Amino acid sequence: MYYYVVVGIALALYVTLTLSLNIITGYGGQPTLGHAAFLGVGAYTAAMLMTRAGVSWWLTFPAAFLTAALLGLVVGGASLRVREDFLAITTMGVGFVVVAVFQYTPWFGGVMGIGGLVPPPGVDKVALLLIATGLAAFTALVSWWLERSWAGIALRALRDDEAAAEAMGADTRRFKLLAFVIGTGLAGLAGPIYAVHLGFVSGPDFGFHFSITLLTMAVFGGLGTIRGAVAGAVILGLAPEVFRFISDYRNLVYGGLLILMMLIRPTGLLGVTSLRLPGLPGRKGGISRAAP
Amino acid sequence: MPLLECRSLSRHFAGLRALDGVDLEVYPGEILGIIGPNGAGKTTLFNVICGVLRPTAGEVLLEGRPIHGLRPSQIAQLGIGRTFQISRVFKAMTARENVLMALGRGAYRSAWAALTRRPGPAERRRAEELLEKVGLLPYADQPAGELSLGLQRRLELARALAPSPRILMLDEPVAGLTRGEAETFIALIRHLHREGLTVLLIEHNLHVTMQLSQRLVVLSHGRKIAEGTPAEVRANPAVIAAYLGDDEEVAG
Amino acid sequence: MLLQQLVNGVVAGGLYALVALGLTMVYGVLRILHVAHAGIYTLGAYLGLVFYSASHNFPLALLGAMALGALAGYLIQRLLYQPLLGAPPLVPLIASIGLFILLGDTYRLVFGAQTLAFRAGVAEPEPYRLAGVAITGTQVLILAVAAALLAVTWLVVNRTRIGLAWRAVATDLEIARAMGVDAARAVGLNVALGSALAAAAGVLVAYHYNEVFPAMGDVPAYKMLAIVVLGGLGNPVGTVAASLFLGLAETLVVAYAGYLLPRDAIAFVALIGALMLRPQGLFARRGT
Repeated sequence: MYYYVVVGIALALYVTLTLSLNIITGYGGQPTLGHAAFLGVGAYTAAMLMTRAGVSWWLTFPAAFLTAALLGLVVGGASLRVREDFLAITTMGVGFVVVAVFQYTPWFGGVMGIGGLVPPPGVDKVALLLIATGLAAFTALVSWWLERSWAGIALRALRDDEAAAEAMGADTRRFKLLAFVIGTGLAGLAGPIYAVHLGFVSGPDFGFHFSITLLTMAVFGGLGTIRGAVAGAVILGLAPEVFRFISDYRNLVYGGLLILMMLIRPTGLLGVTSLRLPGLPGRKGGISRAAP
Repeated sequence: MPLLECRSLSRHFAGLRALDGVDLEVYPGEILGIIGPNGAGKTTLFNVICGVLRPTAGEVLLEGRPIHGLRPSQIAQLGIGRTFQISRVFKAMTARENVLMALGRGAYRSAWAALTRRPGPAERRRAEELLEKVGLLPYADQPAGELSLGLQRRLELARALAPSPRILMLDEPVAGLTRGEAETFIALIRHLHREGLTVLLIEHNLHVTMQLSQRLVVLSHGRKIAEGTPAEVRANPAVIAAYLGDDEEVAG
Repeated sequence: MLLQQLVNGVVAGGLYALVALGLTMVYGVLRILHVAHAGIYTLGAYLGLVFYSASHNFPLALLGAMALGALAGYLIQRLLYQPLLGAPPLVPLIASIGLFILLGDTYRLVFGAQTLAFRAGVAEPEPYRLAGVAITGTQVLILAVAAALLAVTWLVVNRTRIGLAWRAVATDLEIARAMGVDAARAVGLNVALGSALAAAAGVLVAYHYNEVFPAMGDVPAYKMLAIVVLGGLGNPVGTVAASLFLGLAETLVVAYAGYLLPRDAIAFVALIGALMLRPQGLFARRGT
């Protein structure tokens, strides 16, 4: 029983994180290769507030949202200045720097991280599972609402063609920032749960490989849809539990999946069609201009 | 008073004067055609008016208010609608969603409004009307990227018309279309014009421009070399010379 | 002391340049961020180890690793990137990341997770001393090989037909085709040369630090991307300049400012700062 509860918490966190990544990369089309860092910012915010300031675990949620969303605003600011190729690298770099700051700053506990994080009395693993599932459901609800709002329509439009979206009166900078703030803030919200679930936080846990795992889940399920993000997170989250060998060859399996999906079905299992269509405008020169 | 006015508008690219002191007025209710051989600066002029490029000198006024230097989205918010030379429909969205997106112009003014509001029945009805107007209702739920080029052009038109622009700017709207598609498109523009729409048309194809426009402005090497009715322009020796240099026939 | 740091910095920069140059060349013709390039670097290190253990002949090991690395790069281009041309940039980028982590795991399965010694039992000879600067034989070797390879690459790009074809493809594919360039073959050879350079860097690093391990490409993977962006994506001269700049900056920061941040994060701090100031890259030409 305990085992299923623990796996359930992990799955709920994966679903939350993949859905939040989907808001940035799926709806808004902005590549992000450092998403786990925002979970890390949320988790460290909770850990610091609980251990250094004695703040109640419940009150760390809004703080985790704010710190992660604030960093998201900064990274989103980068997305306004650079092309998407550059942005992918910038998000990767932000992830790298965030991990390094946690790991090398004594104030953040250094290489040891911050341990001894326990949920408040009355919150056992089952309650934590309920809270995590609630957060996943909340994230899905936010996604559902966003998809149908004018902002969601503007985001999908700018993913397809920024110049045309601008010509329709949608300030693309505003909507990109919005996607970054919401997506990273939601990832930050998962932080307090993650922190007390594991009992400690440590910088390297929020590094490149975790970010790639999240991207793989979103891409595998299909970018741009709620069902795709949920399916990707659940299937790839469960796979190492069901097939033990997968956890030994995790990167082999994930890497192979990413390659196969891109070659055979770049829209993912349940994604929207936009990734399949050839050629983004505005890429001058280079062989990519040729249609396959 | 002109609806749209360019005053000694210039745009230079590293020494090349793509646009060199162009004056231009568009009056309410007219179709003004801008013609000129390749490289005359037509597309540059278009991009400067729409805010894609900043002018090096000069100004663009909409009803007397300067609009140069604003972002393309801000200029769109002020009521200047446009189409693109190369089709730029939102490929992954359906035709209906393409038009619907353009109807959100009011909501896009603030992030909060865009986030909290969503398209309602009024917008959906309006989207259907617009699709009907351009003859795309049968294709409403097809992904726009899968439509033929002619249909994509008409979809772009519906999208540009959606927020009821005060002036519609068309960038080579019939380039690449078959004869039949082009004729349908021209008839559509005529119809919209009769309903009172002001149009600024850029077109390389002289037959189309002469047919549609009440007035023409001729550009060559970034300068305005002639202006007048199609008949006047056709008789202007400077225009003939400019086009002969481009191996293009003038007579329509 | 400063001179010593400069020497160390230039050696590091030379190694960065070898890897980053291949990456920037691939970007120039394919417009793909070839993250898996760092996987070729690691492959080069393992191949070098295999050849060196078998022959104890370093030049042979270097050339063998370069040849097979080039082949691997050629295959990646034909089998993975060619089918993805024309897709939005996110698609080949994700595929490349997938290949990179797949390669890392493959090395772990084939060669084991442990760190292997490159030159088992052979001690590093005493460094040469010159005006208070100690420079090891390996450092001289790295500088010589890096300089020679960079010179050869420069000649190939600027003085041969295939180099002309690359530049044509990078500028305008249609015109290149009209000139009779076989684009797929040209691009394949481009990736092959870039991969040979990365493989050479892998061998040199493995020899220098006397270690080879599956994840040795992880840090270079991030860092090379930062360098290539700093150098103005697709600009070879800018990339070499950015490589030397970063090699020196890292060495000097670590030597004089202490450990504010780990050495490997400096690249990204520089990158993020530079992108905020100059979004098109530090050494980018206008319009590229």
